[in-house]
Amino acid sequence: MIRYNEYMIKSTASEVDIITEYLLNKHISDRHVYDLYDTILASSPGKDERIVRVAFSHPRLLPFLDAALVFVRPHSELRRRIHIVFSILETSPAYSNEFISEKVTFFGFLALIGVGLRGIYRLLIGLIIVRIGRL
Amino acid sequence: MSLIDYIVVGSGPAGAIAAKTLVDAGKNVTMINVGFTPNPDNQMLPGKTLIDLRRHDKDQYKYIIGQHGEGLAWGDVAGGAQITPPRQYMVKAIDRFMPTTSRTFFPIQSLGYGGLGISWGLQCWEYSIPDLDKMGLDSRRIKAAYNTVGNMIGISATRDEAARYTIDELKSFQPSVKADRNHQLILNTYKKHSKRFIKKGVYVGRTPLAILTKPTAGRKAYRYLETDFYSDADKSLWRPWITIDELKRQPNFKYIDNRLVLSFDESNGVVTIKTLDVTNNKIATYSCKKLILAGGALGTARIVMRSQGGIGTKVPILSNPHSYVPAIQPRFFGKGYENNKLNMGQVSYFIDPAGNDSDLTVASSYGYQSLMLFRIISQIPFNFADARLLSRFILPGLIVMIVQHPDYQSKDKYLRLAKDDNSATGDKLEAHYSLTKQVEATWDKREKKLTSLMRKLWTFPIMRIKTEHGSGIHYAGTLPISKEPKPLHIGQDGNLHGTQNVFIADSSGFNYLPGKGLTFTIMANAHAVANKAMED
Repeated sequence: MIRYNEYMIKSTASEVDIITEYLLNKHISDRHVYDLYDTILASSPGKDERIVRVAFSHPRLLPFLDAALVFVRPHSELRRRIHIVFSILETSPAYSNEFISEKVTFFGFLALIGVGLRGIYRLLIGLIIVRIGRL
Repeated sequence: MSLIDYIVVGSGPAGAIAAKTLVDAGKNVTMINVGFTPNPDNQMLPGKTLIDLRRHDKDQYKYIIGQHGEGLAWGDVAGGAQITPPRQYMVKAIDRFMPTTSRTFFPIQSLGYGGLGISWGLQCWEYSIPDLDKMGLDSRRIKAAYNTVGNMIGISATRDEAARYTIDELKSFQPSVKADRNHQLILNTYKKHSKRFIKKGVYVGRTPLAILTKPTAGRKAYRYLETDFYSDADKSLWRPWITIDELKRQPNFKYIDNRLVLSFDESNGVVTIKTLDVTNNKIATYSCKKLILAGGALGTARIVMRSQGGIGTKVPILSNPHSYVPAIQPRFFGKGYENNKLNMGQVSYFIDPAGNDSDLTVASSYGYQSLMLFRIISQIPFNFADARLLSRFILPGLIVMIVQHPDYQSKDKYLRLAKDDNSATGDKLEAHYSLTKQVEATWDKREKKLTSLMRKLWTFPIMRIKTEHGSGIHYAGTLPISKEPKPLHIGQDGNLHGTQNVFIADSSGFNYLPGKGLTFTIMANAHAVANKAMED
């Protein structure tokens, strides 16, 4: 897990890094992704939500907050920003294979059951965080 | 100012076919149109397969999500997925030049070169004689016109069990595009159990499409590049601009763009039209012997209402109520990406409870693959990271059905042109559209019947998404066909009542809208109207 200081958190590049690490479990340093994220956010600036600041200053919470927002506020600014990075990564040749369907083996199928269970766990913890933190 | 023989207004499917009919007959034709064209930066899609582009093309974001993210939708959005960034010129400047206000009706309109045909789903379904009669059209002329138009645009189809609903009269067509594995499963399963479906009034078959499977007249055969939503590079998929580009090479055809037609006036057998130059807001006029309006049911209604003193008068509107039904086929989960497949509608489903090929509910199903994960990921009830992994597994088994119902005139569906000093044209359309609870219940029952039968085809609907009225681009009926000479109505031959030389070639006259997509019939009607205009 990358450590972020206050200065880095203010930059959109670090937002992209945090989201990418969450989505793909990878650290990237890709000018194209940063620039496109900046351009899209500049074209459609979102609302200032407290949960966005919380998520980017505590990146470990991001999976839980995202999971909870699916049911609490599905169109929240935090999810919109994750969606923008998701779309940029899906349309970048360097990462497109992470989005293209592949044949799944039996063990791959078992791993996907684990992914489903992890999603439920993230949701439950996320709901508690959102409730306690009044996010 | 010289007198033009024929002016055709609009470059959509109706305008293209009306103009071609006239030009082929040797008439001198001028097409007047706004005709916004694509942004050159968004049109550089190389002629490679989508999977190849996704793996190697650094510029793919430009035509998939857009340079400023204009292809990204966020929120409760259903429909419009086909208007990808390379095709967004289709809806350019609509708020400025064709404003519409409504809380219940949200039409997609176009001033682009090719009109709504830019993102048409290419389905070429014939209407039955009872349906054509209900619409007020001359069924004999329209049935004959289907063949002529079919030859003009090129259709691929299969004469299967559902052919009586699709290509009843069509004599000449190319073989269907190869079905993908998802639709092959549906067709094979249906074939085994077709009697059970037919007993319940449900017919399933290949969708006739305006796609070439054999090269014809400078257009290539379909190459299964999977870029159908992003490019028309090979011209294997018919679009109106292909026909108009061909007409531009003819000496008896002239194309004038950047002109929005505002109104017309007829006196002493001469029709004069008033246009607005959209580049500098200057007014220009043109005079002709015959005027053929093909600006779409809403565009044409605006012109006619301005010209015949119809401001403030209610006119009807018809629009197919429709739903999206995503469905899964678990046997394809985890099967990986399928190369070389078609993205347009592949299989059609006809619900015909009375068995008379009238008043049908119709569905068409599409493979989802090329629209990619980002368009659906936010609808999956999981966090994004886990949803990505699960969706990659599910996507090979996902198809989307579009279910469309017929529509009738009622006092609860209308348009009105109102003054608006803020718009470039000085007016705006106000629209209202609502269905009675009884009608909604009938359509709901039919959708449930279809979704229940889909399970027998190893295809399991997961939800039904109701769309906003008008958003499916299937609307019509603003200037109904009437035998009585009434203002804001037209005759069966397309002649606008109160005029001698003004004809309506688009869907404005339809008195009823069948569930099957209307574009093929719009084109057949445009051909018939152009012929009539030449006779008079």
